[in-house]
Amino acid sequence: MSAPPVDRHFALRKLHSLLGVVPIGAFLAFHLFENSLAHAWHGLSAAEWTEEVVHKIDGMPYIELAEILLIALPILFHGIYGLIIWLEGRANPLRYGYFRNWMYVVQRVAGAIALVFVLTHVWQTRVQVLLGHVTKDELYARMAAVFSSPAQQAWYALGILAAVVHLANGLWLVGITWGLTTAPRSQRIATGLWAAVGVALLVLGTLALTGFQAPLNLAHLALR
Amino acid sequence: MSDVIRLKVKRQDRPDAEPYWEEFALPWKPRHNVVSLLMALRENPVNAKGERVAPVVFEANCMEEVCGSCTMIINGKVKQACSTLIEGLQQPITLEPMTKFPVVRDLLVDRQRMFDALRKVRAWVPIDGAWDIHVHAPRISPREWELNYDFSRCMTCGCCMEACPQYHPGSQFIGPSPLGQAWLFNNHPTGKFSAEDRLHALMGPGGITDCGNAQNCVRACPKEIKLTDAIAKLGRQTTSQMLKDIFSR
Repeated sequence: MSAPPVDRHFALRKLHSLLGVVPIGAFLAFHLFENSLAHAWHGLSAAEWTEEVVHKIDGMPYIELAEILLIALPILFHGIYGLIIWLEGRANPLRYGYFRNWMYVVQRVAGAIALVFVLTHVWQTRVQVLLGHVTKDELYARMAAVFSSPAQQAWYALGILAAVVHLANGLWLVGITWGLTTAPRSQRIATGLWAAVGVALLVLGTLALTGFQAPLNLAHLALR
Repeated sequence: MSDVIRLKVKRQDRPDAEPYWEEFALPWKPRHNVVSLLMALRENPVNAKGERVAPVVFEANCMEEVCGSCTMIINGKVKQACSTLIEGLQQPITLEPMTKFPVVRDLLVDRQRMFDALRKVRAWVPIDGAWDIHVHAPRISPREWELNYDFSRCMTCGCCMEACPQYHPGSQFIGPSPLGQAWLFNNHPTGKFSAEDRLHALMGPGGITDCGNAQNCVRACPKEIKLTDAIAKLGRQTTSQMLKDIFSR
């Protein structure tokens, strides 16, 4: 057998970088978008949101396969390999307090928070459906019940913030590591552009976070 | 202006010994730089307590910020001791050896790993032969020449390595300076012939993908070499090399 065309270390780093954009980054944007539709601003009721979002996605062919191959496995690989990358560095922002050096730290901390958050979020939602504790039709009520706890709402706010910051800055990094933005001017413009994208995603996140309103008789789902 | 210069040096007697701080007070003289101050200390190595001690070991050569040998951490920032004037420095002046290279003694460090990295990325032009090849050096545009000249001023001092969060004794990363040199020789009309070899060296462990883009290197460089430009351009070159390696063979 001949040697692999690309060094394993290089290939793993590139894969880690690529998976962060597609499918993970693309899925995060889509996920925030679909959940922002739960906000009254969009005029969807709980039943309409369930029809528009849950049933439509659930009705897609090969959805379980896509959930594993395009969401679960990429996030696990990106998260675990990302932690390994974190351990390889020795952050020094107190000695060299430049903006980009702080973002180096922020990227790692935000990534770790996002990873832990995603695990808790998947446990509260998809895993509960798998275990048969909640049906997909009850997901709206489930989220409303979760958000009835201020601590949970704060945790979701932190998790969404961390994920979005990690994605926006990650896209800036992709511009450099794949060789698109190769000079200070283009990198500065990219910083502004991705920051704007980040703010837009945070707006969607805020709509989602404040959108799921529980009628009181559904709050019992939190206890199940 | 005070009539003494107060100095705090992080000393280490042997490569495997524990470091310790020692204070000194030297008579004020105008236009001292850190190297001339250490030379004055060497003439009369007495610490602030009045004890005669072994002279502080340091390295210095050119005295005009082109050789890089006197690089150390002065008041918390990595720079060349020869071009750092005492006037304007906050006292006591703290001197520490660089933290990313093994300490030999006091302020003297072993920068061998950086030179090994230059060998790894083939930071040279393969032109020397056993006979005259009767071919003139290729022409190069003034713009390219200017850009290359910028990178050719690298003195392997280690400031960029010191400031880099990804470069430390436990990491495999070759660091910013050798990346800049790899780009320089890839952009040289004769050096281009080995570009693929350099890129493959950079696509291994410790290569270009280990850069964390904290961009401290470009700020720490005393020669203001555009290291982050080189790193991003090498990102582009290695991306296209990867596509070539996968799809064109």
